[in-house]
Amino acid sequence: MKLSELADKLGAQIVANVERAGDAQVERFHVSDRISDLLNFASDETLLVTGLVNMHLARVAELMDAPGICLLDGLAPDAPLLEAALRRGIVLMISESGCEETAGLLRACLHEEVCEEPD
Amino acid sequence: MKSCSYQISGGDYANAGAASSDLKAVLKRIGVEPAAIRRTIIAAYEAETNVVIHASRGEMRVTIGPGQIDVEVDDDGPGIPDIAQAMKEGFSTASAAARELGFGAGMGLPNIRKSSDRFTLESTVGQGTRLRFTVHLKAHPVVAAVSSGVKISAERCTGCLRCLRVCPTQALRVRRGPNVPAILEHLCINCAECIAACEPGALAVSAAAALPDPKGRSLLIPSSFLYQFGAGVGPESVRRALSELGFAEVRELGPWHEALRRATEECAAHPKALPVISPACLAVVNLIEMRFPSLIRNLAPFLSPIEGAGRDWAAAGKSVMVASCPSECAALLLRPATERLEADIIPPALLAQKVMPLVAAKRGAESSTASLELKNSDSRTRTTTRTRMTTRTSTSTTGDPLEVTGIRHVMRVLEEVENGLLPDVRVLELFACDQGCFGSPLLKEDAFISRHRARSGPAAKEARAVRREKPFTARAGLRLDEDMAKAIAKLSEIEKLRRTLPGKDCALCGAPTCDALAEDIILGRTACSISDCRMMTQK
Repeated sequence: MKLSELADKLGAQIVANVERAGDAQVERFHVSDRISDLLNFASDETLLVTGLVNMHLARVAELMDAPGICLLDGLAPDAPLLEAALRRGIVLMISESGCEETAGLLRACLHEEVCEEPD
Repeated sequence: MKSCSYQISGGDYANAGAASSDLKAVLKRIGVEPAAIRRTIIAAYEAETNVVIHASRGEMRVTIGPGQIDVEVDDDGPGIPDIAQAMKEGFSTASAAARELGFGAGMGLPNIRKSSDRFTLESTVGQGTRLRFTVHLKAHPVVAAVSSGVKISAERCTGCLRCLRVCPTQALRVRRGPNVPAILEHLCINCAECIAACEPGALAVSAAAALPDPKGRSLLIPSSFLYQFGAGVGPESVRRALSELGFAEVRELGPWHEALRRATEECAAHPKALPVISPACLAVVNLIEMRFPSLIRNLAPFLSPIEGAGRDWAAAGKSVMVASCPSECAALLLRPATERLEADIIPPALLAQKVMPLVAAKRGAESSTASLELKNSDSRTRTTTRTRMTTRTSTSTTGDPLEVTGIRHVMRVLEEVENGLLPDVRVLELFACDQGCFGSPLLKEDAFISRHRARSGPAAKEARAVRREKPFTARAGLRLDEDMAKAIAKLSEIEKLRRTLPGKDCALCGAPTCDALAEDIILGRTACSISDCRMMTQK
């Protein structure tokens, strides 16, 4: 699914690279607040969903070719993250809702294609 | 061997990952396979952040050989007192500040071990830690499977350079005086463009040069073969002629095309990615593996018709198979030793020579054969719908596939798919030759005519699509050197040299473009030098 479409359905606001969101496709998402975890599950079709707001997210997304990052609880990215996302062409969106609600919506949007976080 | 090293500063969170980013760029430029890049980068990033979190200074040294990447990370950190404990998931000694950033999950070392093929860790408390890991790289991805099916007879080459201009992947070179055409196998996709363009016949398909004894053998022909002998000779006459030659059984490839089409359409009901691309034409498969690796997952996971037929017939003992293009030849001839077929592969012309006198004699005697045959097939198995690559009955459940024929159209369409501009197509059937396999330059009859005739032909026996056991794999076709270290060095040399060339792409030097000449010179591919450039020597 296109990131722009997904942002619409989530009611999320795209704050970086909105012009790319129409092209970027994701098929699954991964929720975690741990960098190692995001690194391990990210792919070129994964939306990274996280409560973190620092620039290392952009690095992980860049390294693993993940097209987008979704922040939670309406938290704004810190300036270095915003700048890094812009520079590396990573779509950055902010979901107003919390982790569970966002994950639920994403799961509904992406059907069975989701990659669930292991216990 | 390529070596590089990166200094890592402890506590410098802002630059954590910079070395890994740089390493990734290097690996990409030298054409390392994506899965290996992914594993290397996960391990490198974890190792790099470990230094940032725990040490004050560290160094990452990377050695890239043709078969593997070795990474060694040294730091002057506090050392690890209990390595077994450190290797447990969830164990971490990271500071609160690091944890706040999302680090220190206690997964770093286990992640490195999981992602690498070899992993060692040495640590002395109070002195530092040395971590080493290795990731194996696929050195020659599927090179064997794509050896060229084009045979070169240099003595026939007149140096007209037409082949250079038509080759869609710039895989051909013609060195001058004496003229010697050469194929860069790593770029060749086994389409038949160069064979079609070569009037003197210096380029041909690499199949048997003489027809083996047909007695008692079974024969596989492309369906188009039945329609090569003019308006007066219908498929039944050709079949009769073939059995007169002594073949015990004659089968057509058509049903395998049919079966593949049905299987591909079924695939589109539960696609991994849309559009689903039929692997009917092996030249197209080669093209995707080389130029469009991101579309490999769109390929339906089946063998091409000729490979499927080859698999079905592998048990049948000695047989004769007519391959109608270089890609089919390569698929049949260049299989791994364990799967070698007990079959002779011949080009259509060899068989046509034998069939021609037989059907020509008949044509005089019974001039109404063709119309009789048509009536016969009317009453028996008259096909119900129009023809694609063969006669077909409509089984489509997902709407008609988009059929694209001709390599240039195919390339444009693949680019559109890659750019996401074809959301309205579910199934793609792509053929490198115009009008699909009817358009092979090895066939005499014009593609439109033979295909038109095939429309009213009788239906053949059923066949089934054969699932692939080996997945499609990306080809590092554009890789500059097998030794990836040299590849890096050469890249900048090529760019430098290219800027000195005129950029007219006249091809008189024997390379299709100025870019290609620069690449050839730097890579020392064939005896060539900058003095080959006619435009520069004229001045």
